[in-house]
Amino acid sequence: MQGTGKYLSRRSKAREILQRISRHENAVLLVVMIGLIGVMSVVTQGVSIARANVSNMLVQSAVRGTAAIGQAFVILTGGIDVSVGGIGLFCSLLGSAVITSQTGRNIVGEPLPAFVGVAVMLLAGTGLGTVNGLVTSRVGIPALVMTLGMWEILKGAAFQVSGGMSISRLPDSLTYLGKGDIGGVPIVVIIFIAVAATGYFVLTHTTFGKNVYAVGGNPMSAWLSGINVRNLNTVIYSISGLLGGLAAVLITARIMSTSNQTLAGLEIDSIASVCVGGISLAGGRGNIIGVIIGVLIIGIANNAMSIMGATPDTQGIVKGTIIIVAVFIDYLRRHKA
Amino acid sequence: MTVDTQEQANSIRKARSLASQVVRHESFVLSVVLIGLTSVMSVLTQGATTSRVNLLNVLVQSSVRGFASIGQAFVVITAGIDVSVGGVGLFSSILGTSLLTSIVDRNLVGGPIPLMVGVTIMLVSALGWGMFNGVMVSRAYIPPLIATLGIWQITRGAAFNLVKGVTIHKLPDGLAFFGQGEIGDIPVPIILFIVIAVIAYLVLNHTRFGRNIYAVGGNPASAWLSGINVHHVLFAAYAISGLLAGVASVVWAGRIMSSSMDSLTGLEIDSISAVFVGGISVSGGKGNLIGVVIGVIIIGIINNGMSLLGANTAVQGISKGLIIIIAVVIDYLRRR
Repeated sequence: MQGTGKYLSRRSKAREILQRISRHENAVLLVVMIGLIGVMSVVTQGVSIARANVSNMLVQSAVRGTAAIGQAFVILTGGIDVSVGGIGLFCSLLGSAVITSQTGRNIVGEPLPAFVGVAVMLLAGTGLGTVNGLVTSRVGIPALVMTLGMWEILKGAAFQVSGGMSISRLPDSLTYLGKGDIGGVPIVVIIFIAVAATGYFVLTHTTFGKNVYAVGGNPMSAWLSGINVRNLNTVIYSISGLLGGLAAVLITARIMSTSNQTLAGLEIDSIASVCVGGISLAGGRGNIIGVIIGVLIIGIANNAMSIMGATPDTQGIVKGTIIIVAVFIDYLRRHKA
Repeated sequence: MTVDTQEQANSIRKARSLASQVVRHESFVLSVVLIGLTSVMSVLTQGATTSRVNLLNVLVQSSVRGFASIGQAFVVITAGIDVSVGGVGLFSSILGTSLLTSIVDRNLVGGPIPLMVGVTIMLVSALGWGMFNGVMVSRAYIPPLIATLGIWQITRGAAFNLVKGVTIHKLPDGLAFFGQGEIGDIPVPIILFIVIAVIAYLVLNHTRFGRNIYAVGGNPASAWLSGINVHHVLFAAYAISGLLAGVASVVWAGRIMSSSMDSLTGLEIDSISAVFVGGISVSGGKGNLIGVVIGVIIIGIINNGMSLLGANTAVQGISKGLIIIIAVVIDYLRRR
């Protein structure tokens, strides 16, 4: 033992602290994120850390992150939700179609107050998510197939609602939600922080959260321990749907319009954030903090690429690579322990 | 009992057992569905569906989908999935056409290369992506969904960057043979599809490799313990899927004599639908190729019928999603 008695040498103590930090799952992620910020700020010649840009990046990450929290819950139980983008798109269009003052686009004839639109988006999201959950858990078909089918259905349904055109002229009261800030922090970001904090609290301090991990780790054991696996699996998708609807609210309020491109790629982004954040696709492992860092990493990468003028397709190359590398690293980590 | 009656009784018994074997065959229900569906569509479109011209059209369009579906079938039987087919096909198509085009500024190498070289490059590039999928799934243990999803993103991005998203045309006339040519009155795509389907059927049902595919899908651990090299089997399945995506892209390019970022969109959804409708189990290890072929045609008839009835893209998308879900639900209920 280095250093005897109570006079442990300072060097070994420092090393011990370093070792304990690096063993912590999220430390590696944090280092990656900080490194990425550094690299990106150099590559974009400082643009990426300009205040306006950071604010923009955080807002976009907040929208993505809200959906990612829902996806995290789903993936923790060993499932997956590929329909999140479709749910967000459909909710955004549906809610907008109810409150818009654009002539001929409002599906109830008269523009309703903004909060009705918000409520519609949240309710529709929850409803669609619940359908996902019910069919997956009661009928038993794999989540991948159900959510894939739901995604196709919603893409088509969204097209029906929008007729292929964008909807704008939404009530001004939404701008406070979308562009306002409290003490310099955009409200959208504050909402995301609240959602993330709630998610963290639920997963770490409630029975429900513990059950989520249990079902993900070993559904059979969970069932044998008395957890109602079927109900839990249904609720999980409702949560994902609800948060998809919330993401729709946030993005619609932000850009004050919606179209068929709204929230495109949300499912890939949320899955990527969750994978990068260290949640194992097999379920049962990972935590929300990692997901938040994952969301930020993807956000920083996306943002920097936009600044450098990369097209969405090129961004897709980077995203695809990130997902694969992240999952591979997770696999290595799991099998080294 | 007289001899005559004995013989009669025997032949009745043989006929009954043959009949019951046919009925009990997995794909019997599917064939009935197909015939019923075609009849319904025919009535709805007042005969347009079953006109000779239209039927040929349906079969040719189904063939492109069919190539990818056969490849997808191999993958899904191993309990995997390949959502990259559309991207791989797109990449192959853009790469090939940008080498074959006679538009000098669009051509990657300045001048059109020989047709068969171009076709080979298309097939090889698609095969390459498929092999990459295979390595990721079999060696790096990356879940098939994630691996192929990532490749889908990557191939689409790569395809875009090849020619910055422009549409490419002015392709060599010989290419049209693959998409529009005929051999003795039968369109080439249909012949190719039949050939490939037959080969796939023989491989899956009459070779050790085919049996291994089912074994790996049913229970990879047991397969491993029985001495099957699971890595090789998985690798091959994804490689096949990639290669067939390449075939689809060659035929499609030959058909529309151009390529763009819209080429082969939705190929993954279509092939996955056809595979599930065709009775292949999501959990792997079960299902047969005849079902997949029927599934391809069913989806083709539905798509065609909807187009004839004037349904817009929205409705087509909704019904595609519903078809996937209903097909898998039926499969699940049947297996319970």
